[in-house]
Amino acid sequence: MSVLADLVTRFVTSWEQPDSFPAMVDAYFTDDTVWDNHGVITTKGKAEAVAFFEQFTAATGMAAMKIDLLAIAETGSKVLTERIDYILNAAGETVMTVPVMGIFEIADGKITAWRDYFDTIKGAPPA
Amino acid sequence: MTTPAETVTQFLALWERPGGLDQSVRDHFTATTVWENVGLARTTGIDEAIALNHQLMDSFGLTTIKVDNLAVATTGSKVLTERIDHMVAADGTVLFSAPVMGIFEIEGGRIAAWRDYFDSAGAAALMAQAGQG
Repeated sequence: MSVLADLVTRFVTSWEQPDSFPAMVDAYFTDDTVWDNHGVITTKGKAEAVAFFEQFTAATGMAAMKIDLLAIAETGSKVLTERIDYILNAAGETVMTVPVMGIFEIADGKITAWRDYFDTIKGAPPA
Repeated sequence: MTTPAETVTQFLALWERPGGLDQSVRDHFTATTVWENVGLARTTGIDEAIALNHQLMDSFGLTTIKVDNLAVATTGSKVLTERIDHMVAADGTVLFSAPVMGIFEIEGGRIAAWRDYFDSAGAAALMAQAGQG
């Protein structure tokens, strides 16, 4: 696997330990990284990304995630993925199943942009 | 030989032509092709796909779709895309533009499966609006 696809694979699979998300954002985002959950919310930089993640964690009762990486492909500095993101509660039960495609733009070993597209009727975080 | 990515870009390019939406399905689908607009609709085969196309064309008043391919990447027989699909009326007006990611699974030069992911809540709202208008 190439360097870029490997970076994205590591980033994505790290979510299986949600506690590591802030550290991963710190390691791989820049202050200008735009993370777009298309149709739901767009964050810019590290602090906004972590704040949204914490809000999502609280709203869903997420204790862990399971990521099925169905496909990963790259073109130039972009890595495209199809995934199923499972949101698990503390009992290990799946509380949300989100089929999603996401694109990651990489520059100098950092994620500069990340856009996830998914069914926003079913996949939006609870208000 | 046509690569999987070429099959996909040829398929998408047809949408720009009048009548091209039907033709794209006839040229590139099989009787068992599964097309899924994730969260909204799922079709199997050519007839169901053409029926869904016509339903969308009638709801929105669109006749063609102009596709901006932002990214096209291949892994094995799968082609992953990020696109902006511009819905165009008969007079050339862009009705709305939908950012979308889609994955195409190619078998024997045909599209065996195609899944598009997009802001379904936003699309449903537009559809409701179009229905009222």
